[in-house]
Amino acid sequence: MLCSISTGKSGSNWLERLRSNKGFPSGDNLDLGNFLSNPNSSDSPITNASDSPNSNADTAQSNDIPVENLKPVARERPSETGDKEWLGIMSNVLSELFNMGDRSQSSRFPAKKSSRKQRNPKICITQSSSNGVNMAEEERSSSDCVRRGENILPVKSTLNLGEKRKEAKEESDNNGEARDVEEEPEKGESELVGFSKSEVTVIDTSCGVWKFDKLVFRRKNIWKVRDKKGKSRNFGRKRKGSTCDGNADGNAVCNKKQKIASSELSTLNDASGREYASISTHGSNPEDDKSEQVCIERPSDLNQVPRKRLSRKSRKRRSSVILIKAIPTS
Amino acid sequence: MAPVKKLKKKKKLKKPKSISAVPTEPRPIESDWWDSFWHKNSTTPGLSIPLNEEEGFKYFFRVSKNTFNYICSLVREDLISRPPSGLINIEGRLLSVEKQVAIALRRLASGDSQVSVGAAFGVGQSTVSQVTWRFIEALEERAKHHLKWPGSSRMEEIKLKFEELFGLPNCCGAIDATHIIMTLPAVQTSDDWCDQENNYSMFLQGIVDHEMRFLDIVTGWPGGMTLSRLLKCSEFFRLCEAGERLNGNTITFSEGVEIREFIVGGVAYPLLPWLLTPFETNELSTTLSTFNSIHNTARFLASRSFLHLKGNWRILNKVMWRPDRRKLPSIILVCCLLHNIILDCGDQLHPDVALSGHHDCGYKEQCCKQVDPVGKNMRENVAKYLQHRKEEAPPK
Repeated sequence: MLCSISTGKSGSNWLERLRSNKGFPSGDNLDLGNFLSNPNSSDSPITNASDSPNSNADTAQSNDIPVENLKPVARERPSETGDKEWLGIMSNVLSELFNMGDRSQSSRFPAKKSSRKQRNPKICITQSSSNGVNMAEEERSSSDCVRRGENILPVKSTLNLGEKRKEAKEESDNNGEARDVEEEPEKGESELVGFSKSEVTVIDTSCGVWKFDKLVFRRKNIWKVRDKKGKSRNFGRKRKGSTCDGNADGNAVCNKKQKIASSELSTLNDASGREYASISTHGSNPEDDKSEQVCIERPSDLNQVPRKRLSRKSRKRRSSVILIKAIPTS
Repeated sequence: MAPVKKLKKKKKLKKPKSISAVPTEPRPIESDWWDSFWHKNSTTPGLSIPLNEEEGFKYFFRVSKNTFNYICSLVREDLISRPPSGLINIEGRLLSVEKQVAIALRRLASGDSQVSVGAAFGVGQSTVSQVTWRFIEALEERAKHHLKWPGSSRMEEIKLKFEELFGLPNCCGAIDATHIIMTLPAVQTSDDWCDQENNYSMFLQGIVDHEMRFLDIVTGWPGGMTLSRLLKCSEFFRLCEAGERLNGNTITFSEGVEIREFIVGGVAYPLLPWLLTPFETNELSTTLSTFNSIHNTARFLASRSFLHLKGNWRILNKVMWRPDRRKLPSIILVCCLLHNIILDCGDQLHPDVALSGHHDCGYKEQCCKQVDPVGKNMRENVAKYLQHRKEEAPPK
């Protein structure tokens, strides 16, 4: 309570002092519309970013004009981009002011922020309509789907197709396979990608030591047995893949794959083990294997989290895209 | 710091006192366990318990009193209760080795829950669990000599008996396998234990002699494997393929036909020079059908062994609830050891106790298409020999 009272008082005093310092009128009825229409007419030029926004912000707030009122004014301006820049700078200043303790502005700040995030929905519409293939996907995930629709979904769909094709191939292989699979000579551990692994305790009375542990790898009717001591390289690689966060490049791969995977969570969640097995085996290219293992191992752990992360990241990226889009129009 | 050291010294001094205090108040060892058990359980409703006490003993523990004492002697060193850590019953008395063995045997024989077995003996569930596992660990170490591949002289006896009983020359045993079914948590790691009948199971493969004694067992492998795969996972297979087993004398007949040592197995096994399976063609000649009939009779020894095993030690026939998969093979092994101990001690396998029907109820016999040319030739030779012998034998 003490704080709020003191901030209120200090805020008004500060504003008046600022206005007087910059030569702005300190009255209650500021003609903000007029002021915005002629930004260059103010004493401080636009290039002087530190000074001019402050003045604009002060005038906007001291009048208690709702932030929404700024929008129609801005739209009417012929130089729309110039106004946006002003608004952006003003919002920054407002946030600074708010942080200094002006309680009266706290209610406006979020609104201002949200308007910055949501600005120019027209751009969104044109972008989404240009990518008509992914409309269904975009509908699911509101505004931030634009980037995903543009960049990631096509990748995902091609991956899906590839996976499905390879899964189908594997199915047919297994169906055609005799139940009694002959023991193949032990090959590299990469051959065991896609096998589920179990540790079994075996008792065999023909062995010198009756009781011993073995690793059993199973993929449907295909069984492979390895000694427990020889820790498979494949298994180590899986772990390495799952801990790729530390590596910057790895992180990039992970994030990308997470996105793909997260959009497929509904399918992966049903039978994560089997999906993992079938998907990760299809890669004849070892590099593909690596990336896919990473991709598939992640979603099981990140069922809940990555969606939020993704949306947050994509929002950030979207804002940068809009800025780029905005440059040519000016 | 100095006072602390003094305190430690004092503690050290106190310890021997507490240990030495135990023998001054010895808890009596429970040795009259059978009398109280018989008195308590001989009239259990719903069970057809023999009135005779000797038979009653066999009913509950599957072994005669003599065999029981022999088993106790095997594991005594490991199970003997030494104060102060010895297992005690509800009355605070130390559990005798006999009672511990009885508890473990009853648990394995009945397959009843630990709670109900404990109630029959007046001990708690945890005691049953602890005693049973201690017994299993002890017996699997100390009864190994009851389950071993026979030496050459013993093998000659077995081969003679096979020839006497079935007419099969140079036959060393019969092979079969059964599933030990269990429940597992519905997690992905359990999938590897899912078999073709959608049960979670573990395999037990056994090779038996003419008396249904296990000569070799393999267990612990997931029940979803094929029998052919299971065989190939076994050391027995490796030894046979390497010529280190079933490598005894071959029998040569007048026509120059040679028959090496072999075992008999079902159609789920591959036809190998040392493992003969039945002919599978629809239209069998007299020679082939004679072979199949004799082969089936001999092979049934292995099936009967499993019927007895699962009937005597019902824990193997019941669906085990989430067993420790590292311990389950030991439980299976100990049941096989007990099966052999019964035979070695001269106890007869009670036919009423054995399961009726098939030991692997609900499992269809798979067919292995693998045929080794040498094995095929060997099988034809045996078939010819059997036909020849049949023709020579005077009609009864």
